[in-house]
Amino acid sequence: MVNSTRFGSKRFVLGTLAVMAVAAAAVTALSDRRAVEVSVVRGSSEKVHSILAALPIEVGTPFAHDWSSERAMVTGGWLLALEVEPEMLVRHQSADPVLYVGDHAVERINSGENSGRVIVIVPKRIDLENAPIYFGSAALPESVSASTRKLELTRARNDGAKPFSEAALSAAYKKGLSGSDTATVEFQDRRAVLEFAAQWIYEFCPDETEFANSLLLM
Amino acid sequence: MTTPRIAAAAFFCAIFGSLGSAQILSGTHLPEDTFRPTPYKGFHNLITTDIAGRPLPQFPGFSFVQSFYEGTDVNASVDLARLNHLTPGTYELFVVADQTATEWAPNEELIDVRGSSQTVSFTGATVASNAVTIDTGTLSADAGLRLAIGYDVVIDVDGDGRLTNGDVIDGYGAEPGFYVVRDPSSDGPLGTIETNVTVTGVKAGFEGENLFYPDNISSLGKLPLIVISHGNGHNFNWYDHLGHHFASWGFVVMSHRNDTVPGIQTASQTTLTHTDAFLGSLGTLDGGILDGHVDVSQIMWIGHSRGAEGIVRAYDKLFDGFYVPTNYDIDDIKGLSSIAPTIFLSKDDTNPHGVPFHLWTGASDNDVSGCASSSIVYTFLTHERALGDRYSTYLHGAGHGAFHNGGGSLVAAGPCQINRTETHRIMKTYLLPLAHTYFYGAPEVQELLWRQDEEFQPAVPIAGPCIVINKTYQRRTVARQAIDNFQFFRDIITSSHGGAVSFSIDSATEGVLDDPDTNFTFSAVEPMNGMTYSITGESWRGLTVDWSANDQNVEWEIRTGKRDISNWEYLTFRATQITRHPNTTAVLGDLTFEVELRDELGNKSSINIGAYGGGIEEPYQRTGCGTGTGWSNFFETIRIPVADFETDGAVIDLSRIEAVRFVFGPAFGSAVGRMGIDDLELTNG
Repeated sequence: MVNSTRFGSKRFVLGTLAVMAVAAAAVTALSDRRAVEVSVVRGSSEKVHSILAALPIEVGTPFAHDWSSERAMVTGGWLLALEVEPEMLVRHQSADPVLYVGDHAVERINSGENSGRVIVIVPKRIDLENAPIYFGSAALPESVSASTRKLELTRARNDGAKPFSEAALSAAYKKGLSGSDTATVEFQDRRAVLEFAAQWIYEFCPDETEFANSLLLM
Repeated sequence: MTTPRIAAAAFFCAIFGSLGSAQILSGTHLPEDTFRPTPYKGFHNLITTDIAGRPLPQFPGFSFVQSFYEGTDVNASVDLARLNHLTPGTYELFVVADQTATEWAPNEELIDVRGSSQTVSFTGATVASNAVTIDTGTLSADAGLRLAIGYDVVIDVDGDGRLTNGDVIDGYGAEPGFYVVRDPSSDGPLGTIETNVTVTGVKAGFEGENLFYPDNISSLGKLPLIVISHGNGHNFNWYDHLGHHFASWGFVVMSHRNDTVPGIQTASQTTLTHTDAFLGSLGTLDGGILDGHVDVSQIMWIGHSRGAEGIVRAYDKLFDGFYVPTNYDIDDIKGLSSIAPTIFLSKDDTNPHGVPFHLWTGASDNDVSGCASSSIVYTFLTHERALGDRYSTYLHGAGHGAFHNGGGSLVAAGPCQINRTETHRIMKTYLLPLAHTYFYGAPEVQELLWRQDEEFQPAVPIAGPCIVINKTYQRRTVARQAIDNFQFFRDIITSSHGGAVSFSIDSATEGVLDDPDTNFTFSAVEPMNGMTYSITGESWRGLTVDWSANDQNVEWEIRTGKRDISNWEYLTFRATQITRHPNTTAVLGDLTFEVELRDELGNKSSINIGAYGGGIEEPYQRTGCGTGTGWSNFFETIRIPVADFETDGAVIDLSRIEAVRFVFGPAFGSAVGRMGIDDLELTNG
């Protein structure tokens, strides 16, 4: 059951939300001293406070995900609005904690360092009900490999990171879809995704209006 | 400024068509007053020598420098001991518009640019005693878009008001006798336009560019392009201070949105693609006003922080062929300037190779801090990797945020911090001459890149209780001869050119310039404490020494066959105090010592490095990074004109020098000290 409509440069595709399995994340007890020490130097899921909106996306013209060493092509994923500890978003020149959704380092579109609200692209359509959202070790995102990402996820779970609740996700889906029953939004290309994200920046991060404007300049 | 020996050698080569350089250069050493370009244009007894300069408080007593800031005094002197064709007496001295050898005509009337000639008396036995002021800051430096005007100095020996045989001239050759230089931090002559545009062909979301260009660009020719790549968390609109400044001096500046958060690869890609997209869009950007007015063969990249590493990575990608531009190529990149660069990538990936490279480091930087705790913040490492001409500027009190004009925190730690206004003036003072060097060669501004600020200041000084500027200057594309760069013959008693090295000193260690632990805390067993010039896998080496008594020394033998140093312009090295060592903290101030040459007959001539002003600077008094006070070690360049060792008839045969000795102790400079030394060499240029 697929219908599509045009909206600006974006094509909205009706779909059906997958029924998310409620799989409680297994919290493995910390069993060794080293693991505890590692969790101290990394960020943690406690720094990710809430998920404000979630939008499943597809992209007509794939683009490279520069936030991993593989630079895999993005054909679909999630656009999320998150509220996190602002200090975690302050950008330094040396390595900063990497923001993960499940085992994916996500692209941060805006700064968010004042509001704590950051719009991100998850490069794959993963099951959010099984994907904790957390800050991992400090690194350059472009250097993070698949094995590192899996290790970070394991560590995060060991540290107690859990996915957001079904209720929180449902609210986020509802907000992301603006009340429509559109389940997946297909964008022509990366630029169209960013133009859509600009609307979220206006809404969630009004202190970054100038940046949002710049995303609409082309 | 005349370089008589070189001029003489070049002349002989030209006349006789024989480059046999070793024979001619080493076998025909001529006192400079005997250079007679017979029968060139009818002159057969014209004496060329250095005349313009500045007085020094101690031997050699006078320094024949090349550049003077507009509005400051210009002095002159002659060393009668060397200029033995000039009889002590009173003469008319002319300051005239610069002409080259091909432009001067015999019997040409001397027209003094000051309005009239000056009667001077050269009767003293020392060059210091013959010093006279020949201008009190009235000479013009207004050269349009260039930074200096050249002048020649003539001693009209026969008093006929014309350049004739027997007269003495400074500036007869290709270069003038001296230059009067604009304060490079002053605005240029052109009005400027700033505008924001977007381009296609770059990563979506990063299309923004901030452009600066002269407001009369449509009437100008093709102008060099300067590209600015900002750092992480920074903004491409934060470099107005550089954009307007360069545009006012006839450059086009493009500062672009930079993709720094993922890392250095993405940042470098943005630099590469923005440069391409900009050059490919000239026909449409801002109504196409730039079309036909950007010189694609003249590009300089400036980067900040991650963007500073990004521009080096970008160059490396061009070098390795990982990025093939459409609208420019690697040869069009004339130089880089990295402001507080990170160093995430290895030397295989972040490497300036042979392109001219310049480094800014802020000693108060609280982000790319330079602490030994992480090699990511070792700013000096990129500089060490550079194989071409390389330069660095180290600012005490400058924070990471002081280099942009985006407001907010200076991201600084430590005492006596300098603000953005001060930092930006220093940046303009250095970057404009650097750009002229990259694009034009610009001999007129070379001294601005290496002379110590203690003695070389514009008419409105860059002065303040917290302003301390240190420079290194290593022209690696000019003729040079290493005495010891510590990279070869890796034992401490053999120099890199194979000569013996001997020590009479408290301690000396040759090794990799890498602090062995993660802090700057003093340790008696860490001779390389505070060094952040190398890391594991890279072996940039040097020497550290310390002294606490008189006449302690290090001596480098000059090997047979290399002992004629008379044709070299400068004896140069770089040195640094070693942070937090008791000998360093004992006396807070510049370190000085003597450099001594000894010839094969045992004659010696010595010059204290402090004679020229300044010395080896005290470490910035910042705490943290372990216990104690004093931030990382930083090299600065010392250049001593070889000819200065012969001043006032000093008995030394520069064609037979068997040893260079650094002599330490209270009778020779600082009573105690600990110092790092590297790149001891002879250079021309």
